[in-house]
Amino acid sequence: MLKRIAARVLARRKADPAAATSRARGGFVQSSLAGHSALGLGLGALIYIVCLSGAVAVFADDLSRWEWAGTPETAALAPEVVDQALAAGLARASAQAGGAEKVTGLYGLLPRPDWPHLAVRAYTPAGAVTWRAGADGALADTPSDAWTDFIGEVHMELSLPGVWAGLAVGTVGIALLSLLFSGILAHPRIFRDAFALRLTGARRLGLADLHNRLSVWGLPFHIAITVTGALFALASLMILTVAQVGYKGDLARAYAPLSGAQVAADAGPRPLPPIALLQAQVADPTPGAARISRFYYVERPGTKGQRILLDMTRHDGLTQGDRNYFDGEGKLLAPLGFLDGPVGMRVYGASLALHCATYGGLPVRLVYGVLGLALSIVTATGFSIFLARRRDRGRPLPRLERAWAGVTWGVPLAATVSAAFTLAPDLAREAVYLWSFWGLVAILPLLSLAAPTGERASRTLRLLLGAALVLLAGAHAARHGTDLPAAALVVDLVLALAGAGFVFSTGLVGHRARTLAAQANPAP
Amino acid sequence: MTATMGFLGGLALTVLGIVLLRRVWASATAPRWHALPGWALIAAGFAGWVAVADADKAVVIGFLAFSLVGYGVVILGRDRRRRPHRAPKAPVAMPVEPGRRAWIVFLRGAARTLLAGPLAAATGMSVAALVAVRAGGMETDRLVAAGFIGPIGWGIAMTWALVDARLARVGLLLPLTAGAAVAAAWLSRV
Repeated sequence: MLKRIAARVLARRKADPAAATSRARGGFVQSSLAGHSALGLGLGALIYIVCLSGAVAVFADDLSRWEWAGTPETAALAPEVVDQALAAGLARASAQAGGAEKVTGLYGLLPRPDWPHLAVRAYTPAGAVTWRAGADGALADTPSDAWTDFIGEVHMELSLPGVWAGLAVGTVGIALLSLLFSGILAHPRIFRDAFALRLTGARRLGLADLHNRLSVWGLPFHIAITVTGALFALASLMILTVAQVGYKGDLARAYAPLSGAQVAADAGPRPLPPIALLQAQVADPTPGAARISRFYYVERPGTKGQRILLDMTRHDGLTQGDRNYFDGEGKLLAPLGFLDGPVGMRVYGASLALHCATYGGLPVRLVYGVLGLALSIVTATGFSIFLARRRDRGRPLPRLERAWAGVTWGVPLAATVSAAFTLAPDLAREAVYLWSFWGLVAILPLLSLAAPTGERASRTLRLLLGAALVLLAGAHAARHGTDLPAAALVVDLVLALAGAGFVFSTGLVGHRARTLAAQANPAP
Repeated sequence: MTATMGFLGGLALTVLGIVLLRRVWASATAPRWHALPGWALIAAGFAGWVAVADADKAVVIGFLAFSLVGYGVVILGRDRRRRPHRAPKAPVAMPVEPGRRAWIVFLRGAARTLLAGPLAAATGMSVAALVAVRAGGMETDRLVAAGFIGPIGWGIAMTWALVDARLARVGLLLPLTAGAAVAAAWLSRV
């Protein structure tokens, strides 16, 4: 009997090679889906944190204006005022560190239309310290830590130190890239079904449609952002590898073509050169283009061997400006070459602009926000599809459902709570942001385990998130009152509306929403 | 004026192209080449974006518009029919693979993790080092090209290690590729 069945199967295989090919294809799709799922389950939470923090960090300029709403704005300051602020910052840092030679770097964030503030940051062995300047260019008496910078560090470093940061974020980026590739391989009909969106039927079908539609239409952006992000995160590690393999371990030699004109170290004292002198030397091949210096960085500041980097825009393309290097006296050495240099350097400059959305102003940042949020939703729904599939097959993972709800809604809630500390001047410190954010990111999934279902955990956290956003916006607006700049007011309105949307989505408001919530399946 | 016309033209062509793709892909019988006019319209839309900005910026804006318009068309054309919620299925017993013990499954998982993680990373980095040292052109161009090839190579190697059912093939070829790349880079180090 068995022999007869086996013979029939073999005969069918021989007779129908197309069926055999189809089976092989099906096997490949199955193994692609298995690999896609395994990677998503393994690193989904970290990918989600990096994507969501990136979608927030793209609005760094706008959030920073919201955060600094109490500091008067100024779109431009006289160069002499900027010089005084930088010199004051260097003097303070030298006094704090116990000598000018202990200040390794001085960074000036200069005012521009998108970000009308001045800030001076000094790097010492004890860490970085930042002072904000008022509209008159005078530095505040006490240093401040920006929450916006903290969210940027979560995105770029996952708050890890040194080389571990690049390795962790780089690995997350590579995993995301691999998920994008394997997602295409695992879904042979992903392009044919590119317009199907069925959110009103079975939960798993709706999640899968949302996951696939958001990923397929955002694919060019998602690949570009992931590749450039992984490049920046892994740059140090790659240059180390290249130096070991190809440059006999000489890291400085390998790094030289990418690091701009060098200046020999000389500890003799020398004041910072006037910024107007630096700006006057930068060529202007594009008449009419805005010439704005967005930042200024000095290595070994206050010494004869100081090397100065001045960013200056002079083109309205993808790459807007170049990084110009000057020696200790303020004499222009050479630009890095983002606009006129070798092809590789121009590509590198364009990649920076592409990843950080430094071109096109607010409209481009808004598009990045939408597409970045879409990538975060793709990550979150990918995990949820796995959980829903298990539940549909009668083998649910209720604990993981609740914990994943804790991750999905816990991360934005943690970011909102950490942002609230910006309203209390004594608590607006990096350590407070760090502990409140990562503490909640770790605790909320554990607390979610106490909820009866994943859906209940999800609704509770959405309610908390919505309430927190509304409260944050309200408290911020109330604190600054009529002095609130328009940009900060818009951010408050967006936060309040988003918060109201989350509260509404829980089904506690409105009859229709309550009915829908009651019908929902018990999954996050 | 030119910029406004370019913006509107680029947007209109992108919308038309995507709507055309939707019509073609909605038909179960339409041959694949029927989608070509849709793609052509989307490509023509990039000409409009070039009138708005420089070529490099225009290409990026064109892709951003493509994604956004795609989302818009999908949302506007979503299926609004109400369907009854199906009850969860009865538990299904997963088929047990014959002759595959737990420790074999564990070992295969560990091997796949090793291949997709450190070995894929080593392969990507090695190929990047080879490009940085041996590829033609200026040193800066080689180093930046290596910077892109490293993550992309690592990503492809990771994908391959995760989707290929034959672990031995991956386990053989990934270390071989990494070793060959390192050796070639080492021989011509500067």
